[in-house]
Formats: sequence, C-alpha cells, structure tokens
Amino acid sequence: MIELINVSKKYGDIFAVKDISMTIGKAEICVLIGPSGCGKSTTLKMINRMVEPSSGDILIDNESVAELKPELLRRRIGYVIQSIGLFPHMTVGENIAVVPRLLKWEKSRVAARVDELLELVKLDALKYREKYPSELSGGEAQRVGVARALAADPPILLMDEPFGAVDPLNRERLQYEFVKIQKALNKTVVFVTHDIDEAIRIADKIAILKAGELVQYDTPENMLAAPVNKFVHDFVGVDRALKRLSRFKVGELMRPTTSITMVNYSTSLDEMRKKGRFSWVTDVNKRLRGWAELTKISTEKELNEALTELDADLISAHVDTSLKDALSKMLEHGVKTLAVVDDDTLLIGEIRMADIVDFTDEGDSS
Amino acid sequence: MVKAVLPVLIFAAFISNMALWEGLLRFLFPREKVFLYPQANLSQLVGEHLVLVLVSSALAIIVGLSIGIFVTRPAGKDFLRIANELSSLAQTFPPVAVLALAVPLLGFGFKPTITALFTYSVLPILRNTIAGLEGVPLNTIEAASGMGMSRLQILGRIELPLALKVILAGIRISVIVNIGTATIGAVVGAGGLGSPIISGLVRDNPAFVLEGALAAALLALLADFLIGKAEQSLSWSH
Repeated sequence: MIELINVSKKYGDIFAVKDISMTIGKAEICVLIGPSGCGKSTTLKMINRMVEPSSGDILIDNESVAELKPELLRRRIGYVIQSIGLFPHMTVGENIAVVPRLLKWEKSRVAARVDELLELVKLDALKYREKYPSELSGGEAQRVGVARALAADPPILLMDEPFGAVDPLNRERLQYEFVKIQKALNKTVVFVTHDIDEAIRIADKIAILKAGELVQYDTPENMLAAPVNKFVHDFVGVDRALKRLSRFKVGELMRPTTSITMVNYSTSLDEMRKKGRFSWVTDVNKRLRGWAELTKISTEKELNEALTELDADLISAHVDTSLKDALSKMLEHGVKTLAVVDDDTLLIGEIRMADIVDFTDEGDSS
Repeated sequence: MVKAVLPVLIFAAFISNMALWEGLLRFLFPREKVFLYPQANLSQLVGEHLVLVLVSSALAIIVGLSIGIFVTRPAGKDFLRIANELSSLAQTFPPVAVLALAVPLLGFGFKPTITALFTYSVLPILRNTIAGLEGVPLNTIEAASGMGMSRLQILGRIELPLALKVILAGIRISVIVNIGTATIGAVVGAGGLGSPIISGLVRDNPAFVLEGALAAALLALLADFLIGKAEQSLSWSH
C-alpha cells in the first residue's frame, strides 16, 4: 500500500504538485493521468525519490520513503520509463539481470530468473537472451523493460508512459498482457499516461490531475459515470458512456436463456413457444449452432429447415467481451440480442441491447 | 591477440635490421657519406621515444579522464566550461613554445619534454571524455538511477562503457599526434627519434632526417593499429 500525505513539490514559486493526498491499495493499478505539465510524472517520481517532495510524506506499507536510502528503496521498486531506457551495451539477459546483480544474487539464480521473466512476457528465452536492445522491435523492447522491472520481484511497479512509443495495435495487446501479469503477480502499480483509453483499459483506480492538483480519484466506472466537474467531464471525452461500457463484461448483464438441441427438442418445444418466437439452437453438447423460428417447428425435419445455421461468431459474444464490443457487434449485424458463450463456444446465456441501454442510463443518473 | 602481436613483431624486426636501413638510405641518398645516425642505433632511439610517449600519454590519459569525469558530475558542473576552454587553449600553444617555457623551469632533458607532450596530448582525451559522457542519453541514466544504481555504479557500469568508444577515439588521436610531436624532445636533449632528425638538419644530411621520420611514422601507424584493435574489442558495437 502506498500513501501520499499532503505531498507538494515546488520549483521556485511554482507548484508542480500541490497538496496531493491519496492511498493506492495493494495489488491495484492506479493510473495518474492529466494534460502535460499536470504533475503526474513528478508525483510518480516522488514515490521512488527520483524527485524529493518539498513537503508532505509518502509511506509504503506505513514506512516513510524519506527514511530509506534512495538506492535501496529503488531496488525494491520496479521502474519502467517511456523510452524504456534499456542499456544498449548490455544484452537483453544482462539488462534484466541488473537489479538482481545489484542485490548480489547468485549467478545461477539470476540466470534462472532471466529465463523465467522472458517466458512471462512471452519472449523465447533462448532466442532473446543474447540479443542486444538495438535488435528488438518497439514492442519487444517494451516487454523486456517490463521484465527488467519485475526482475527482483518488487511489490511495487512505477511506470511512466511505458507504452507511449509502441504502435496502437501492439499497445493494446501489451496493455492486456500487462494487466494479466499484474493480476497474476499481485503487484501494486502506479502508472502514468496521458491516454484516457489506456487508463480506462487497465486502471483499477484513476487519478486525474490538473496543474499539480488532484481533481478526482476514483474507479474508472465511477469516473465515467459521474465526473466531478467540467474538466474531468471533458477529459474523459464525449463518448464516456461508451467508454464506460468497455469497463463491464457481457457476463455481468447476461440473462439466462433457453435453447433447443438439434436432436432432442420436442419435449420442451411447447413450453418454449410461450416465451418467444425464436430460440437458440445448439447441438447435443450445448455448442451453439444458430437460431430457429419456433412457430415453424414441430418435427425434427422441420427444425433442420427452420434452423438458420450461422457462424457462432456472428450471433454470439464471449462472456468476457466488453459491453461496448457486444453493443458494437449488435449494431454491426443489426440484431438486438446476442447469444453468450464460454471458452468452448457453449451457450450459457444471452445479452440484450435494451439491457445495455438501461445500464448506461443507470450509470448516468448515479 | 595473435593478429595484434604480428605487426609488433614485424615492426621490431624491421627496426632492428640496420643493414636493411643502411641499404635503403644508401639507395635514396647515394651522395651522402654516412647514412645512419651514428650516436645511437635505431632500436635504442625507438626505446627512448616510446618512454617519452608512454609516460606523457599515460599522464594525459589519467588527467584527461579524471577531469573529464569530474566536470560532467553534478559537483564539477561549474568547471565544465573552464575545462573545455583551457584544453582548447593548450592546443593553440605550439609544442616548441611549451618546451621553451618549460626549460627555464624544469631544466633540460626529460621533464620539460614530458610537460610539453602532456600539455599537448591531454586536450583530445579531455574533450572526447566530456563528449562521450555527455553523449550518454539522459533517460538511460535515469533508468539506471531509478533501478537503484549508485552514482559510482552508474558511472562504472553505464556511462563509461557507453562513452568508451568516443574516449578511445580521443586517446588514439592523442597518442598518434604525440608520437610525432615527441620528436621535438631532441631539441632539449630528451633523445628519441627526434635526435637523428635534428642532427640531420644541423649537418644537412637528409638520410638522418628520413631515418628518424620514417621510424616515427611507422611507430605511429603501429600505435594506430593497436589502439584501433583495443577499440574494437573493448567497446560495444550495437
């Protein structure tokens, strides 16, 4: 847990950071965001004492960082910066090994750790260990940067626009992978960005800063639903309702649904006709096959004719898809309902457009 | 290593083969009566010359590196401009003038020559040390610092290795120029390959001049080759 208590940083007469107090929970990703010069990087750098606060205190697990020797403090905190700062004269393996070596780990332990971390960030250890940073693509270098920060298994990671130099496609992939790693390893992360989409994608909590002051500190869901003022409102963007949908998964709004199987359908047919005209059709294994208009069916043969067999991809959404993507799919295919499937494309429910719309209303009124 | 040793052996064999030198100089200057500088043989002169060069260059490397490192630290930042200007100023003095100024203070012989050569060689090393260290990207240093390296560790593990190529280039230039310049030591009696040159000029014997000049040139080429090899094997190339 990281606590900032009335932290300020003054350069001359100007406050770069003014009286910020906030608590970053254990194993949370806290994103600091705001326009250029808002003090987000300065705030981040005060945590590992790259910048010394003018007043206030910062506690890590109830221990003031001011009492620790900066070098020792920093070896316990992973650090990733925008340009990654990989050391060009060291191989990927040597770069990752920097902090373990500073901590005087044994050679064999360092080597094992390097390989383990490369696998963690999805780089083949044999292939990449001996490469030099100049031989890496932007995305690969970024992965190595993350691996290096994780090397000594620090409980805290500080990341200053780490994905800033990566192209949008790779950036999104890196973000998802990073969140996965973070959840698996339970790291407390403080992450600086100016990209609101990135913040919404990865954050557990977002802190919006303006001219050195903390304007709002909240979950992305709450911030998108209820910006505290016009600045936050403008900053999160006019499409905040849509952005908010991206924070929720289909599973959260899913309704139970009924279906008929392609073989043994007749038993439940009458009952199902009462519920609606259409039904999802699955095979015996509950795997989604398509949908059928119930009024037309009374025999197995008719089912085969009535069945509109469709690529499951077109009429369904995975349970972990965001509401935003599900809505987008509905609009794209002109349907009001999507089947919800699990990892094995087995039917587990359905999601309706009306429910999503109601859900956004709820958010707005809160 | 083998590749570096071979040219040294060839050079040594060539320098010590006086019959070959005599034949060469006789062929080029058939009208002279004496072809080889009589006071000392070439190996001895090369040895004296090497001592002058090695001592003055070693001093220049130690001082140039130290000052270069000092003025690029936060504590020595204020001296950066002075260091740059002083070293440029030193270069504008002709070495003979430095020698002339040093003799009244230090007497004849070895000491004033070393002083002059040192003053002259320290500049390229200092300048390249500063340039090399300042060329290390700030974010690389920030990353190192953020990972918990101390100032000394950053200097030793990050800054110097990254600046090494530029620093070695400065040392290379300095040493090569120094080998040529060291011939002026003969003027104040410090010996070396300048002796046959001065003697040749005084006695109007071009064979002596060529003997010293050619040997100095070969020595410079050899040094260039060896430091180049060191550059290749010591500095990173990615």
